[in-house]
Amino acid sequence: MTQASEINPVRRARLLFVGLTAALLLIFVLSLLAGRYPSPGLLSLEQVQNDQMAHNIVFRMRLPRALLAVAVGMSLAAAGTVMQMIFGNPLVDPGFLGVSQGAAFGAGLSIVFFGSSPWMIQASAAFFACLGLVISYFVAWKIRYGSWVLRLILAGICVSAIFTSLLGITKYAADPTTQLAELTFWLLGGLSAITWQEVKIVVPLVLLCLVGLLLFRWRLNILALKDSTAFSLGVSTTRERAFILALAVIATAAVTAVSGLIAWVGLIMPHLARRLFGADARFALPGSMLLGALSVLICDSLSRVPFAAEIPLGIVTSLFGALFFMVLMMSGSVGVKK
Amino acid sequence: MSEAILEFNRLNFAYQKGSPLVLEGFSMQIDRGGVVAVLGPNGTGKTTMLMLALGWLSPDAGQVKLLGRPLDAYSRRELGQIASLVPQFEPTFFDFSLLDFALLGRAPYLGSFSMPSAEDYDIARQALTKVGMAEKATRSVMNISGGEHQLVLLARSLAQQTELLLLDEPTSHLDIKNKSRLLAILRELVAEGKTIIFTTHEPDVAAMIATSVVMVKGGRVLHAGPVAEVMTGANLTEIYDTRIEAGEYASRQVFFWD
Repeated sequence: MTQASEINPVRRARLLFVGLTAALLLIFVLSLLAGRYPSPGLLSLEQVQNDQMAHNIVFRMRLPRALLAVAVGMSLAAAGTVMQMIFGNPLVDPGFLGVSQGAAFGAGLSIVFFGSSPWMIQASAAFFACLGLVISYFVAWKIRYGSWVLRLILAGICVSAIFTSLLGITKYAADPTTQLAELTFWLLGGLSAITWQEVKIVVPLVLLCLVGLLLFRWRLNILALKDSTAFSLGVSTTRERAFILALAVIATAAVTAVSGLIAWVGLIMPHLARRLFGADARFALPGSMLLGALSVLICDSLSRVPFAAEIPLGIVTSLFGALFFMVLMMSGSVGVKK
Repeated sequence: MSEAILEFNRLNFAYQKGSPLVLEGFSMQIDRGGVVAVLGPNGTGKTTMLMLALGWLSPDAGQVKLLGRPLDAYSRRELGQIASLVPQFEPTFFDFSLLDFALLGRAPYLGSFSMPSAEDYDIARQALTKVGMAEKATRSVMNISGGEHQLVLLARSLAQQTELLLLDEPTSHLDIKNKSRLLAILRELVAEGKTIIFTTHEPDVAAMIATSVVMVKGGRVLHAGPVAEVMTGANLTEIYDTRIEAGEYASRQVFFWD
């Protein structure tokens, strides 16, 4: 017996999902066809079939890149939603808990001291991203006052600051003609170097994490409540939060390791998703993932199609992200209670 | 009726090692179907008692037993099916609809990867109807008054369908009409065989519904027992440091204070 009052939001959400999925598929195909070969614009299907060069560009370069853009968008947006809910703070993003800064330091360390093979940079970035989480967790565990959430936030701030300083030292030690440029490019974020190799490593891992998060999505609503309340509802708060956070951070670390730092997606998409789907994570989480995929795919196309020289993706997401967030805030609440 | 649902056996509790004990050697038995009011000045450990009963806080010494079994012998999920909490206020940062919020009370019955069923929705909707908030089911939990918020928290607890309900100052934000509604709901719950423990600053409310009273002050339980014995002007004067006199009006206990 389901009444109109609650079937409507569900039906609305379903319609939105269908619409967003269709938009994602359309943009995906367009992003495969859009580019600067042989001239700026869209390739025709005929060209893709008959022109070997066009065929190679689409299937060897643009397809893995578009797939990874989807993975990056989905991971960052999902991690953002999860972290905002778990920390009961709509202004948190996946970079919290030292994850982004850990990845940045890891990449810097590898570029400057261990050689700059992509494999090494990715491994080092992923390792330090996870290390950021582990240290934040450990420090939060040891802090003797405040709620669990406050302790994690405080610990995350400190760990991020330490990694930022270490990254500064690394930059200082870098060779300014070669290493510093490479490091800066990595920090700006981008998908220009993506091949099937990266897709094969990152996508399965990301899929595993995202499926885990999706299965857990109703439960997220409870983890957004106060610790004692969540406890009273039969939830093992610490264990379940740790599990969900681990999935979110592994997905973030995996994509960040290959894409560099992509800002704003993880902060804004959860807000937009809540605006469209409501706060219930059953709909807001998958909604946020679709929006994340869509936005990164669009930004990545914008970063490579209009200009002869590619603009790093992180710059495009920051520019549009910040502008969009301002509009979002001015047009209504972002979920922050006065 | 005399079966104990909750037993506190010689509890000692302090918030931090070395700090003064909030409870010392506290023992009490709460029978099934009873309504226990916990009274005391601000900051004296009333909420602490609820949290100990819930298992959120663990005593430094002694034991809390629920239905004859120590609390730590239960899984979280089992506990969530037996005891529910109605906090005084709960900050929410995301604008859940009231129905989605009440639905969270179904959590102890759902697996980690489960989604609420149509039956869960029905139970949540009934709970909202019971507290008189059904018409506002699609409203955001961030856009309701303090009193309505308290009723929605109660609805979530009702949706949890527990035998024991722990309420932290449940009438603190309610107007008289809603207070009366709340008391009616609590009476109904007691008639269904449920047990209620609530903290309050209102002796009148306690006298209207409680079967037993616990009076705490300075972290100690000063008086505990049946309402008729414990709810006296002298005892209230002692715990609140304010002259309070008990009287009767229309066969109801009323309290006067300077």
